[in-house]
Amino acid sequence: MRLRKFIADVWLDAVALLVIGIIFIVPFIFIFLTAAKTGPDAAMFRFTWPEQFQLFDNIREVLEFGEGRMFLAMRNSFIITIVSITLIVLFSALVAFVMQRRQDRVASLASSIILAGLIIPPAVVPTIFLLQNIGLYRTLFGLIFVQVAFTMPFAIITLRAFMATIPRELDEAAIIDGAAPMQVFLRVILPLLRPAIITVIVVSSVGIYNDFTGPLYFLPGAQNVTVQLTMYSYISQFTSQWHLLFANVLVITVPPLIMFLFFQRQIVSGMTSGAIKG
Amino acid sequence: MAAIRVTASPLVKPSLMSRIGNNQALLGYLFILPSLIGFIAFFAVPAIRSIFISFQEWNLLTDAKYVGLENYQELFADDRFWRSLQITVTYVLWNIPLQTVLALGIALLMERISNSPLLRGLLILPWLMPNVIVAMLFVWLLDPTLGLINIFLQNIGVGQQGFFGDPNQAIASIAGVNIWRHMGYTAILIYAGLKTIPKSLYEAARVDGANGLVQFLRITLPLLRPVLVFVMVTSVIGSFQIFDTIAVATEGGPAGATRTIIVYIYEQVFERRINMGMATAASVVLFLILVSVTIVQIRSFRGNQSDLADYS
Repeated sequence: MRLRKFIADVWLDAVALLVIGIIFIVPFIFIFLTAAKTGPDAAMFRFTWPEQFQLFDNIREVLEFGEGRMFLAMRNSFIITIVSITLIVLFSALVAFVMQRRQDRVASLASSIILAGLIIPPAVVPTIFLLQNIGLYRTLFGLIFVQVAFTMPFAIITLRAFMATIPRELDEAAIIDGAAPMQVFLRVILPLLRPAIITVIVVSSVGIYNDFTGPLYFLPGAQNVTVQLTMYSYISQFTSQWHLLFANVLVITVPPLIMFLFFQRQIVSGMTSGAIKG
Repeated sequence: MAAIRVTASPLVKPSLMSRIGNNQALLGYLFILPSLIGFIAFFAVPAIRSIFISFQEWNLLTDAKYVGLENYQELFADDRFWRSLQITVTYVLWNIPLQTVLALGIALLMERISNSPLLRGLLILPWLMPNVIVAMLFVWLLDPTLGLINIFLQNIGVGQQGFFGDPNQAIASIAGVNIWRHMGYTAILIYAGLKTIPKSLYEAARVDGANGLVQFLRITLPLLRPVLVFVMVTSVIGSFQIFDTIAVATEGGPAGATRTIIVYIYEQVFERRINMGMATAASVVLFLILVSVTIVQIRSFRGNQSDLADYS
């Protein structure tokens, strides 16, 4: 009886795992296979092994397209992502610190504003006018500020929840030792926030790196190309170069994948503490 | 703590910095100040300007003209606007329940079987892909003649489905794409929540004779509530603003079947004659809807015991 129940359980789990495996893997195998095909072969849209395996040629062609435009795009995307994330982590942690430690009227007002910030639909045209007025339209910094503004509500909520798990006694001990509040923040709070900061880094950098509409609206111009917009070169109404498009997809997915693998051990613990009030 | 040294020596006259440093409230506001300036500049100014524009007739080329509530009247008289709201709600109702339940299932499976880095990497992979690419991928997978899914459905005798091309299936197909993209990520979030539930509770329940289902309903779900509220509130807000997938896969078609509210707003600015007033009026309505939905969610799921506690 017991054995039969055990087999029934395992069988169910195995089927579930298999289904998950198929659902998650098949689309990526298709990307990989198409990226390795020749143009006409890829245009057939079949789920077959390439007639001629030329993955590396396709990748080289993508990298060489438009006199190294991929490298320009990578550079722009890296600058946007890294600068945005630095600003987001620093400022969000400061706000979260103050809001969590000072439970007064200003802190509760700030809370409502942050929830509103999570909800407000992006106002594209007014934001473009604003960027034009302050001379940041079509500049990397213009887009960086927009990304920071739109990601901070999420970052503050996550960091603030984690801040609640850091005992107040620690700040007090540091203050008794003579530390100024900024030092308490930099030397005590920031290091302890590490797991939640990693979660914020991973989640927001994927969002910013993969953002398609932001660069499209706020950063037009060939010099300002970002990785997501490089895909446009291979799609047109009449002749889409699917093999190069998917080779391009492979190339631009490498950085977030590396980052995920690098941080993946800490991600779950950071999310745990980030999502639950201690 | 040894690393922290005394900075303000009593022998030196307190400088401006240290006087600010001693006033904790002032210092707190100083910490918030850069964020506040950024928020006002990049959030509040465009948002408030949007509200102003919603009372104007403006095509970006000529000067704006104040028209009072005319845009709102026109909006509420437009069948396409009401239809777009209905489509958006249909999308959210497909997307959120399925995504949350599937993610919960995967999270429980991870807890039971394996939490290997390989599985986690696989689950998160769709979410690492740009949504534009995910949409293109599914345009192929769901293609009526060449798509793998249709070939599979034909082989098992279900028959060819229109998916994106069928007005009755298009919005559910879009929801399916986004469920695929987000369920792994959501599952990892929920799994993180599962890890915080003390194992001793389950042991005690087993001793008391509670079976798996009872344990799930009485222990797992209630203790997961903070995580679930967080997941639901943030994903509902995102779900109402669905755009990228539709822009790539269906462009609002077929026959307007996937014209959600953001697609409607987009069309007011970028496709038909430019009508900023109507577009911003629709944005204001969307904002009000989202505020109400969020408050209702936080209240009804007793979210005040979650991370969002201080935001209700």
